[in-house]
Amino acid sequence: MRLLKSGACAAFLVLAACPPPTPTGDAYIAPLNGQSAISPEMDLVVHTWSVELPPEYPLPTLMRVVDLETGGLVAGDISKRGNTLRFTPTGGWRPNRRFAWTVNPIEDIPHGPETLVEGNLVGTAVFDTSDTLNILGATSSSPSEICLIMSRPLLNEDGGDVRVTVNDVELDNDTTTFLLTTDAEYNTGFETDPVDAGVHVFCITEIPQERDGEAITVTAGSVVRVWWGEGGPWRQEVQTISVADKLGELRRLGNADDEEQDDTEPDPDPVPADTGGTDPVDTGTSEPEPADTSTGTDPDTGSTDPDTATETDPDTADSGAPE
Amino acid sequence: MIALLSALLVAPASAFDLEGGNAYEGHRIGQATHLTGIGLYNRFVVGPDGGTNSIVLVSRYGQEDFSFAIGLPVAAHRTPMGRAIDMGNLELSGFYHLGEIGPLFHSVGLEAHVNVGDRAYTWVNDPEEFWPGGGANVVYQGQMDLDSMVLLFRGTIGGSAAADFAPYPSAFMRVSGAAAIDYAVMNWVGVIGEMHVSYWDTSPWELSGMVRLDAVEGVRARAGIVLPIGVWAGLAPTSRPAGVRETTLMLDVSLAF
Repeated sequence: MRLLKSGACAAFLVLAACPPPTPTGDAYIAPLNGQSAISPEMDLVVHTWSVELPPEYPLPTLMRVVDLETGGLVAGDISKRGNTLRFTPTGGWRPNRRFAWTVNPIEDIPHGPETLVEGNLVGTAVFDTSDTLNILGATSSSPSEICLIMSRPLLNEDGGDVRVTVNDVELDNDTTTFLLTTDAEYNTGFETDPVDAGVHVFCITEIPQERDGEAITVTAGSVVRVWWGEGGPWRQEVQTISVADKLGELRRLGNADDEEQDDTEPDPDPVPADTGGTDPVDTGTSEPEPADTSTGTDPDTGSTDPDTATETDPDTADSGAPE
Repeated sequence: MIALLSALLVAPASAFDLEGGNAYEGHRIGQATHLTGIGLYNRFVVGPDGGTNSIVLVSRYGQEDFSFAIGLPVAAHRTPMGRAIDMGNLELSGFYHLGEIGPLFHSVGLEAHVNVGDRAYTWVNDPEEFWPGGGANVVYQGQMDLDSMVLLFRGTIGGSAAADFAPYPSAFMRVSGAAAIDYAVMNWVGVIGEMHVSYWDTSPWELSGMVRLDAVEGVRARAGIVLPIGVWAGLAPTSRPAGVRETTLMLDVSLAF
């Protein structure tokens, strides 16, 4: 590919030179942004086609991880195997913690090998080592269906009555159908580690158009509230995209042909300096929470930093407030 | 025709070189000389994008019609884990001096570079000097003596294979041209200005200026600067944006026996 490009450029024997080679292929992160119940042995994974460095060439600091309880950086090793970059924490992940991790745009050393991290990978994501259950998103591909992406697989202990409202109209469990699947069933080609339990996708189908004279409208922006056993309520606005697309969004799935990083500025620290023991993050992991995984308005991260606020996903930002 | 053959056969050896026992030379225009000697060429990339320094030890052997040279470059450069020192590609060259044809002295030659095991993933200006790889270029160099100045010309065409990591392609063809003026301010002092254009090249367009001091017969010191205007203009095949963030300082010492 590069050779072909060189040949094409060579046809123009002018002062200008060829652009750098364009990487191709899918790029994604694991775990999903907001995933919980992460195994202590699980590595953070960045799958990229564009970080091609010479053998034994030192890896740049691509990933940083912050323990949101202490606000401190997590020590660990970054390694590369094939097209996968891994962050392995020293001694494993501490239990019952929430972490933020940032994929930085790499600042290449001038006059040295260049790495062009796919633009979709750059940014901050969070994950939990606790069993906290969140809803990471609500999608709908038809007016009679809503799918909720949970932050982890559902367990027997999660059992209990399920209540769902759409725009404050409660669904009748007798007339709707629940369907539980795993994210792996929507897998579009990425490989996850064996220790990555993934998440469950909980779909509510056969939603009627109305109940007791009140219209049930499932469209983009419809507000879904969910109570699950003693947990909840979680609030999400419906996105009219497919489950696979939403999972891809949470994995930062993108093609390497997407816009590449602007490597002139490093990513800001994902955690403000004042995140400490009294930060709301300390209290946010033991109870059912809203599903917001963004760091800009999420009370879990307690972030009010305008830099991190830019990370806010507009689709989920409104789900930050517990109800 | 007879004049051409005569020129080929009886090329005046001294015409190539300065009276002080040194050869004309620019930045990218190397020596096409009958002289035997050694040289130590230092390059320092300075500025925000700087930090790569190189030393090239060159040994030359020349006789009436032929000259050969071998160069061994070593770079001190930045890596994500700090500075590293690595050997570059071994440089070999051989020239046949055609002599004076028309107003110019002509030389043709072959320059080759080959990796000898070390891995210096960097460059200064020349793309073939350090980045692991191998290749060859056919070279023409010309020289025209005027009253107080000498014009130098160089053209190359060739191909290289390189370690396939951005920004280098796995293979590239390279065509380059350069012209320089060596102006003798005094018998032992000269100034040299050169412009070089090249494709494919990590520094595709550059201007350079140098001062040479030939104070002692056979001993030369030079100092100068390379302005990589192609890099500044964002024309280099790297992801660096346009901007003046680097320049290269030169400091050479050479001996001619």
